[in-house]
Amino acid sequence: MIPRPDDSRSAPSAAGKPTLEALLRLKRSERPDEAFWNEFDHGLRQKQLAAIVEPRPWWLGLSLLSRRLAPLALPASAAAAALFAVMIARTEAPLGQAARPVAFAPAPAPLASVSAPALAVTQSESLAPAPVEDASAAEAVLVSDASPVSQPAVQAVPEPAPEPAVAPSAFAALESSAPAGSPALSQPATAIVENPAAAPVEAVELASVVAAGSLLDNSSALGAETATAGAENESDSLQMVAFTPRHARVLLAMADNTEAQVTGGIAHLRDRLVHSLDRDDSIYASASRLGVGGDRLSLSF
Amino acid sequence: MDASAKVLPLASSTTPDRRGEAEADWLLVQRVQAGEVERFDDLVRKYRERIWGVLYNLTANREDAADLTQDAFIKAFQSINRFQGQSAFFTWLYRIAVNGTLNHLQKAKLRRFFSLEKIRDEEPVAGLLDQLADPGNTSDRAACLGELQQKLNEAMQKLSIKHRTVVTLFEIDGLSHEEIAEITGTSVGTVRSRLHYAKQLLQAELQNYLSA
Repeated sequence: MIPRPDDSRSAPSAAGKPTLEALLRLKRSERPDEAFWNEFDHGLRQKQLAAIVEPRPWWLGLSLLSRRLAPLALPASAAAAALFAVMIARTEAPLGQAARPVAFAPAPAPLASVSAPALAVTQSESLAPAPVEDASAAEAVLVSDASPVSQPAVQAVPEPAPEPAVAPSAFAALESSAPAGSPALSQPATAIVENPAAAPVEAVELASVVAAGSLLDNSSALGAETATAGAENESDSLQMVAFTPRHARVLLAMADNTEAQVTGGIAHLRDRLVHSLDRDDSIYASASRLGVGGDRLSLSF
Repeated sequence: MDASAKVLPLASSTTPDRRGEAEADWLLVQRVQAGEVERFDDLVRKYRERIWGVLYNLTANREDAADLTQDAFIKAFQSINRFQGQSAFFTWLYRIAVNGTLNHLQKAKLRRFFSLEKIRDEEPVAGLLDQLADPGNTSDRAACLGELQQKLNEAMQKLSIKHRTVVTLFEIDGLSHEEIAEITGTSVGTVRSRLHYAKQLLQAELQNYLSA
């Protein structure tokens, strides 16, 4: 029994009490016997074998790997960033080259501006002997419509239906009749407009085509001036000229000419339009399934 | 350059005996790293009692201390190739053992019970008991020893884990402040401060059995 301070019987004197350090050293004597250590060695051997057999967790391998690769982290990151930049540059380059023509490709030329050189070619190839009423006006048409898009494409344009020799005259007339400061109708054109009956039929038709093309595209100054001139001269006859299939073919040829000048994007757009037109058949077929009879509405599937 | 000729960066307060011991351990470790794994058993036999003693005083449970000691040796064996001799092997081994024990104690805070080892009645203990009990009464002597052991362990377990670790390593195992600082990953000042505070608490707990 450990003596209590108030237990005078077994309590040692104050001088005989141990110190804390001496008391703590007592714990060094708490030692197990040899049998304990035999059992300890046996358990340790078993745990060692179990540790060898037991697979280590996967994240431990990752942590060890990351610890070993830590010195290489910075150079590897820099190399990866450089590789990424090169890959991005190589990926962007073809796109940029492909996008450049699209980005800088001129918008589809207005119908009127394309039609002039097209017809000018017609003049130079097949209408040479035609009587030119105002050669300078014809040249002005050619020069004024020096669109960088339309010119090279003109050579590739299949010649539409042979136009009469009067066509250049009509263009020259259209330009020369415009007010000062802007390309407009020429005097002979005005004359044709004023008196379509007196003018040759082909010239009237061609002028109407040009005028119609101009009216379709209000962005063309020539077309706008043509429309203005037509209004001023009360040339209802010009605007009232009905579209004939031939005009449609001419417009179509001009449209094809325009499309041939631009890149494949326009051709793709045309294909999409054609496909959409084809879908009209399906729309028509759908509509045909709808029947109305008396007070009934039937839908066949 | 011969690896064995490497000078171990031991603490300045390391005694020559401790330095020679560390160099001998380093040679054994190098042989284990070279593939002689049976040499690790020499290290186990050399340090198992000291490691177990530290962990026993930290846990106050002989079976837990044995398990934790075995785990510490297994971890050391698995990581022996990463030991580069930056410190003494026993310091490295102590660090593994103490950290594992601290984790164990934090997980098992609510299920703590004593499993004490019998104190061997040897020369130093005999002198201490002569101060506490009547030398002529042997039965009183044994009872006094058991009660003292119980009180001492209770007082130790009232300390926090950090303070208990410092007291155990310094007063029971006899390590220096620098070595304890290296093992616990703290500064020497922190070790001194913790030791002083822990002694004050123990003194207050055991004041009836201690001299002023």
